Amino acid sequence: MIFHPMETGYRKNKHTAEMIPKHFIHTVKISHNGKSIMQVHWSRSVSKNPYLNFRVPNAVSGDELSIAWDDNMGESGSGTATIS
Amino acid sequence: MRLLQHLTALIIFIASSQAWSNPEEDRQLFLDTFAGNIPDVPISQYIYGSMMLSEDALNQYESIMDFPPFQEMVDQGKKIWETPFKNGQKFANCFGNKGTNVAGKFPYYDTTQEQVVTFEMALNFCLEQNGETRMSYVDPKTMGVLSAYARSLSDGMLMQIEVPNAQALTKYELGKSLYFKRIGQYNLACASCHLTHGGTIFEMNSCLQLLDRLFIFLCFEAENVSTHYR
Amino acid sequence: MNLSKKRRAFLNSALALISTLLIPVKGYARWDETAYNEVDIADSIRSIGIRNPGELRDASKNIELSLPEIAENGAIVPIKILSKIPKTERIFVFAEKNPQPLVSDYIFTSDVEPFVASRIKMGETAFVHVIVLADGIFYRTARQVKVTIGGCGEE
Repeated sequence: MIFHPMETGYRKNKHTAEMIPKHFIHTVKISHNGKSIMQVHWSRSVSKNPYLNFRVPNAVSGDELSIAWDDNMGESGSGTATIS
Repeated sequence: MRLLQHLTALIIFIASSQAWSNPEEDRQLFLDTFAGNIPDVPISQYIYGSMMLSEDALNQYESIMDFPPFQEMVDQGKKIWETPFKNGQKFANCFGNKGTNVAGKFPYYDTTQEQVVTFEMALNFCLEQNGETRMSYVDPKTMGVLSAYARSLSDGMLMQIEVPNAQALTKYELGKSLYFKRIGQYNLACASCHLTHGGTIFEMNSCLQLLDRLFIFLCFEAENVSTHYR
Repeated sequence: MNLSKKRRAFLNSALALISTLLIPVKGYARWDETAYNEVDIADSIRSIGIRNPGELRDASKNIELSLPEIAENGAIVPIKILSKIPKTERIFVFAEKNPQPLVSDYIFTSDVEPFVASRIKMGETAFVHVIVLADGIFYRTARQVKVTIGGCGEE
């Protein structure tokens, strides 16, 4: 799960009454031991703090899984996990 | 954030009764009413609120609880809970069991202070006793997240509400009368939906669902963690 | 503009060729802003490379789709998809009545199962269409999800 607001651009700021601009992850790249295995495209229609579940059948203990994401405001993030 | 088994211990009363209430009898009558309305649902399922009537809803709940979107809020609460006060003490020291499995006993009637104490009040007493500033009961970012985490330490605990003396019983009576008081545009009391018609459908939403949907929505609306005071 | 039939046919197939080229070969494609900005479901579906709806094969039996009947909260609708169609390359998800119906797409290499679980926002009761691209052919399954509390705006 990635912590990200995934703003649709259709919500109003309660205090200023201004529309909150859209802000969402559009691309997620998933790698297994450095090799790209899956790519994800999201939009403003994906839930806040997006959850992603995928299956890597050949993964074994000790393998590295990493994800890298980019959003529409030029921000990015990444994370790596070793399979226990 | 698990729902506590509030229904199994919730205390009820008969509106027309003039005599002193017997909380335990009231509780049993409540259980009997539900057993009458929804005989096919085992009591163990009551903790799921309106979801006990819908496998569809329960599936969504289970799926979302896999990785709850409010986890961020609960983690923020954890940080507050674990940070020592200026005097070195921690929240855990204010409660028995280091704060685990305690929330089910709230609200309780404090015989010394002679008042009903809620869990959030106890959190504020803890702050006060340790020279810290109290939190606002309606601030999601402080009391909201703290309470969310602190309560999670009692996940799975049964409610254990006690009515120890005559003063406490007076408070119990007061709560009871509020629960059954008809108010508002629909002239409904809490009991109208949550007791009498509990488990049935009211305008496309089940009575329990009216509260539950709001509750679940607030849970999952990770923007705000609501306190019970809202 | 007056185009002869032949020219139009040529242009159509050229466009079709170009849109085919946009379909990734090795598990990579840029996020398609145009497709994601389409506001009509028919246009959204066309924008992913389907020239006419007749191309879409119904494959409800071969696409395992898990969605609630009634969404508890439109802002967080769990969805699970497993494609049993061999050589699945890509999966697209649409929520027909969302302001922009294309919700997400997933590109698979042979190192992952053609499976994904996620949570989507739905603005109102609508059909969720899942389109699978496998070996150059598009397949679809769809299911209606009832939404009482919409997930797009402020509640």
